[in-house]
Amino acid sequence: MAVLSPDTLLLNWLFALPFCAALAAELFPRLALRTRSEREAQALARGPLPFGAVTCLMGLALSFRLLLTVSGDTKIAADYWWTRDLYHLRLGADSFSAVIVLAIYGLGLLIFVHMAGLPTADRAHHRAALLLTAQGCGIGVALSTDLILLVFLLHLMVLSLWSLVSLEAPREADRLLVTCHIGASLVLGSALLMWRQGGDTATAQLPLLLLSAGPSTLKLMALVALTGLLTIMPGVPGHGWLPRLARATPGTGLLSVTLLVLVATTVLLRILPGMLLLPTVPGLGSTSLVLGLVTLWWGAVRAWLDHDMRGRAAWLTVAQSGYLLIALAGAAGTTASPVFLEAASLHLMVTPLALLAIWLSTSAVLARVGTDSLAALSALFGQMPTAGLGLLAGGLSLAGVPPLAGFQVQRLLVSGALAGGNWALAVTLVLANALILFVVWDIFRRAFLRRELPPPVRPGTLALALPVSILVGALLLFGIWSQPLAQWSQLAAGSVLSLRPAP
Amino acid sequence: MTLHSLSIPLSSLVTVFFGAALLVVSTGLAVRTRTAVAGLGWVAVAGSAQAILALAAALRTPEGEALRAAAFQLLAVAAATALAALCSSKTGKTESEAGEPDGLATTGLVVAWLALLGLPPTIGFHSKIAICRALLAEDWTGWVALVLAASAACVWPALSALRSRRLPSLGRLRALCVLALIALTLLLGLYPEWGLLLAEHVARLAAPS
Repeated sequence: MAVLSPDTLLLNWLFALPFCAALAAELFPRLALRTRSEREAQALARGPLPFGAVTCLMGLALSFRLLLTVSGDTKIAADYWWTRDLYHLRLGADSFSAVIVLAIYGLGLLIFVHMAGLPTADRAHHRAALLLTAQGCGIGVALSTDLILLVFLLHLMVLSLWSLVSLEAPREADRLLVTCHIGASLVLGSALLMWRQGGDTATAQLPLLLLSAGPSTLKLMALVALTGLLTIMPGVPGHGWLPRLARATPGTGLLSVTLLVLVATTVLLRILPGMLLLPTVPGLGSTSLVLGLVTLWWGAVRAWLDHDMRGRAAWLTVAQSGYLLIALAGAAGTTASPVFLEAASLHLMVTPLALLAIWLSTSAVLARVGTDSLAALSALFGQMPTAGLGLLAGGLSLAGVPPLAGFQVQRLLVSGALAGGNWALAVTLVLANALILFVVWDIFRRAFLRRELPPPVRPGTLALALPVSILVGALLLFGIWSQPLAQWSQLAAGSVLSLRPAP
Repeated sequence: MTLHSLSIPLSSLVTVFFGAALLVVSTGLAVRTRTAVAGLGWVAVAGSAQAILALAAALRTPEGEALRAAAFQLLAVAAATALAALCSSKTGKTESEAGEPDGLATTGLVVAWLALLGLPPTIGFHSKIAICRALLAEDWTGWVALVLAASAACVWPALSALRSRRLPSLGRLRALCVLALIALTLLLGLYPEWGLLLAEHVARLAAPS
């Protein structure tokens, strides 16, 4: 009888924990009604939110353990029998996936604490269960070493987020589902093409097998995957669902979008550099560069033109996808510099922190003031200093302002462009950063500093302030003491380029 | 027409074009239709058209896995359509009399639509992949693109049906059947091996001796 090793057990538990917790969260009100009086059960209605936070805390502890286990050359792999001849349920962990799992649990913890602090938490058990399911799928995507399993979980994550957002804005949730379903179908198409080329859906052997593919086949696979993931990341032209969603929801559904962005970026980094070996794909670099520049500038300009905090946050989320595409373009050139792939890995770790800081601050303003229209907000800094600092730290980090963590990403991108003699790209990046800096400062000035009579503000709670404070601290800490983050990103970049763990 | 395509038997060629035409027409009608039941019906026809595409691949290469894929797809479409039909049928009560929408019927309809669209965690996801793999094995990349595009297009009728309908409560027997079909559709989605074995058995019966 086969015995599971502790490492494999850890891998299984990391994947299963959110799903078990989601089931418990969904059953929470019924269990409360069976064991408590109706009044007590009502008082416990928000219970699933702290329960979700505790689950994430457990996951965080396990993720640290996983990170320590795979920090060297050690990789964990688990191969299950899903179907005899079509595909296997393969999970595996390397440094890259360990960092992503850690990030998903960490972000989930902050989101749950924030949601627990919001004044209204209607249908808290549904929200907690769906958010945990989405987290579980994201973790599965990070740990998956089978293309079909990866697409299966990506689709399932989109469906969980659709259900979650449907609780607040059904029409916009449908737009999210339609767009992301098209995107995930394209990723599936690319995975099937890889299967035809490689003869197997395991990711472990694909890079070598794909080297036998012709240039046009490689180009087709890469472009189909890239186009599909652009809808989920979200980048131009697949970004339309996010700004509309931002306008329609009060914010809590949108917090989970940070997870979707993180997971889509993970898939992009995993599939493109890991499997197609970027420099071998003809035309990918120039396509990615054009898409990246258009996404960056379109997002930044639309953020400048928008009039409320949610809209600006949504367009800033779109803009950040541009940086990743530009980094990929740099890594895909014939004279590819490893700096660009390192920048992409670092971007993957830093940007979700910055985006979540912006979204949590926006959500806190909405919850305490009741509006996020910049015309109606003024002089909030005295009453909501944490939200102001969160917005400023997240936004300035996106713009690459030192000493925040985002500076390291921009430093790598600009230095990579200069090292390659691409002065125009370096100047364009600096100008885009300046525009994003202006947009963020404009929100901060109008909502938090403007000397007018402030709108009435509801009292805040520690649960609203704590996650933002942690994110501000993390962005500053990783910016000032950048050595560990740089090491992680180098490890992750190396891990992305190397083969996946052997089954 | 290339030399490669000339090697396709006429029966396979006719079947593949018939399947593709049926897929395009039924998907178009599903998107255009205004009633939920008609939309569901046309999407079920589109699902069967995908099985016809796989049959065309089986006619070309009988020893491949296309026949099994076709049987698997038909199993998925049959389970999903039966589930949707059971959830949609009225049990004597009107929707206004039924009051609150029935949770089980709504869940059943959602699962049925997910299976018809080929979305996880249902059997439809695996049958869609089996169909695509059977077509790719014949180098029919264009038809794979058509199958994926049809699956994407059918989301519109699915969403309009799910958003517009308030399903009345189900009778006890019907509720039991719905529960069993939901379990089957999800179980085969999470563990497709049993569905594949059944499809293989059916395909063996249909295969030329």
